[in-house]
Order: sequence, then C-alpha cells, then structure tokens
Amino acid sequence: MHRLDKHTIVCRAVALVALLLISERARALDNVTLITDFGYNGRHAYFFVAIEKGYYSDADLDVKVVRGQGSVDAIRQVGANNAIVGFADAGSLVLARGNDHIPVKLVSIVYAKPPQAVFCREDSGIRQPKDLEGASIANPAGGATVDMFPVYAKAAGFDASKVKWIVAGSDSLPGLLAGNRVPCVGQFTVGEPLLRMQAAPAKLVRFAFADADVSFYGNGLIATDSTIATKADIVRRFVAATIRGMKDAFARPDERAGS
Amino acid sequence: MNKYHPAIDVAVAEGETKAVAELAQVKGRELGLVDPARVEETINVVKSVFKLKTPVAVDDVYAPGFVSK
Repeated sequence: MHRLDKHTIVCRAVALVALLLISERARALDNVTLITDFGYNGRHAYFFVAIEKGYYSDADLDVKVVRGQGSVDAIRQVGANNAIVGFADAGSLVLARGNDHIPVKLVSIVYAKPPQAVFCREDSGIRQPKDLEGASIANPAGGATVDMFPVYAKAAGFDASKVKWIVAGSDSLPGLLAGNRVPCVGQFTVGEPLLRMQAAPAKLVRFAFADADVSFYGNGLIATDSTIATKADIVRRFVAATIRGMKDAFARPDERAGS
Repeated sequence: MNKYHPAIDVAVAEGETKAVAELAQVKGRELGLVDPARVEETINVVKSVFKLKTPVAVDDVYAPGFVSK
C-alpha cells in the first residue's frame, strides 16, 4: 500500500510537470516587430539585452528587431503598420504628425537630451560651428540630424542653408569620413565611439546640438494611435521590458555589449 | 549585442551604451518617463524652424500611461 502510494505520487508529479511543460509551450507570445532608427548599432544594445535576458519573453512577447533607415523611415513604417513599435526622433515625429498626418505617438523617451551632432575631420579646418557654412555633410536621407539641423544652426549662430548635404547610407558614414571623402558626417553622439575608432588616426571635432543649449527630446519608443488604443497592454509590456533591458545595460555596459 | 550582430565591435557597443545612458538618465526622473512639458518644448523648437501644415499639440504626439512611475 505504501509502495502504491509512492508510485501514485510519483506518477502525479510527473504528470504535473508534463502539464506545466505543455502549458509553457502552449503559452502564446504576442509578436512585436520593432524598427530601429538607423540600422543595428551598439546604441541599440539594450533591446538585445532584453531579448537575451528573456525580459521580453517574461512579458509574453516575441520581439523581432528590424533595421530602419532614419527616424522618418521608422515613423512611416510604424504608421504603415509594418512594425508595431519604433525607435525614432521626437522632432521628426512632430513633423510627421503636423505635415504628413501620420498617426504615431511617443510612449516612452530614451534620449531625454538632443543626441544629434555633426562630426568633422580636424584636418578639414572646421573648428567652430560657423565653419560649417559651405561644408559638405554626409547623412542618410530623412535623418533626424538633417531635420533638426536648422534649430542647431539658429542657436549656434550660422546659416543652415549654406551647408551642403550629401545623401549616404548610415553604414557608410564612418568609412566616408575615414577615407576623407567627406569632411563631415551627421551622427548622433551615441555613434561617437565607432566614428572615432574608424576615423583614427584622424582626429575629429564634435558639434553636438546639446552644446548649443538647444533643448528638446531625442529618440523614444513610438506606436500608432490604433496600436495604443487596441494593444495598449502589449505596448505597456514592451516598454517595461525595454526599460528593464536599459537598466541592465547601463549598469554593466561592458558585459552587456557582448551578450 | 555582439552575439546577435557579430560585426559590431564589443568596445564600440560598450561606448555607445554609455553614451545612451548619458542621454537617457535624468536626475530625479524615472527612466523612460516622458515629461509633457519637454514634449511641448520639442514641438516649439520644431515650430521655430519648420512650418507645420496643421497645428500639433502635446496630446497629438504623446500618449501617457506606458511607463510605470
């Protein structure tokens, strides 16, 4: 009798574990596609930390990260429902709303300070903001740096219309600068480590928009009005898991960069 | 990051993550939380340079309630 009870207990335990495993497998994850602002870069590490550490799956989300080609592109892709959430510039979002009626909103901020900047080779002779007049700056089409550049120029006291913009893919910018094919590139301050590494031994001069005392929001997480209204819980879970990834990445950037 | 995109240098990703932290962390404010006053400031900065076809209010570009305080 005693052996039978033990056997029954073991069987029930095995059945319970099997049920739990089946239940776990059957748990439906909500699919979320996130579009980045520009390609895949180290600045996006916290999204991948959230994937790697299981923060998204803990929130019942299956997150796929796809590369964008500028904030304007990311906003349009989210507006067209090609991605549920996007990572894009708030200024570009205002323009998209006011001029193109794209129904997309900010749900969380990441760059609470302006991230835009222009980096020039020091040997180009460009040493101060006004020297940018007449200079060529390579930047992807539709990028937030181009959109907000007049704000910086106004604050820094030079004529934005005298700058020549050269359209180039985001991935090609460091190479263009390193090869001295352009004197300057538009780049977020978060891209500075890659630029300095690839442009070495050439030295770079940085013109950060924030240094001109312009104050506005940079990039954040965005979603459409429709997603916000009908899938608020998914968006909320995505934001929470992403912030969890950020906290983790910020606490241990050396370890998390490799994860 | 490097695991998913091996082309990205670990040292660069570390430097970029530190740079993101500098932009993201605001003293006395929860990470990720949007300040409507800063959204309005952003709208005003954009309006100071660009002509908007239709007016944009804070509520048009910001949906509250997605970041836990």
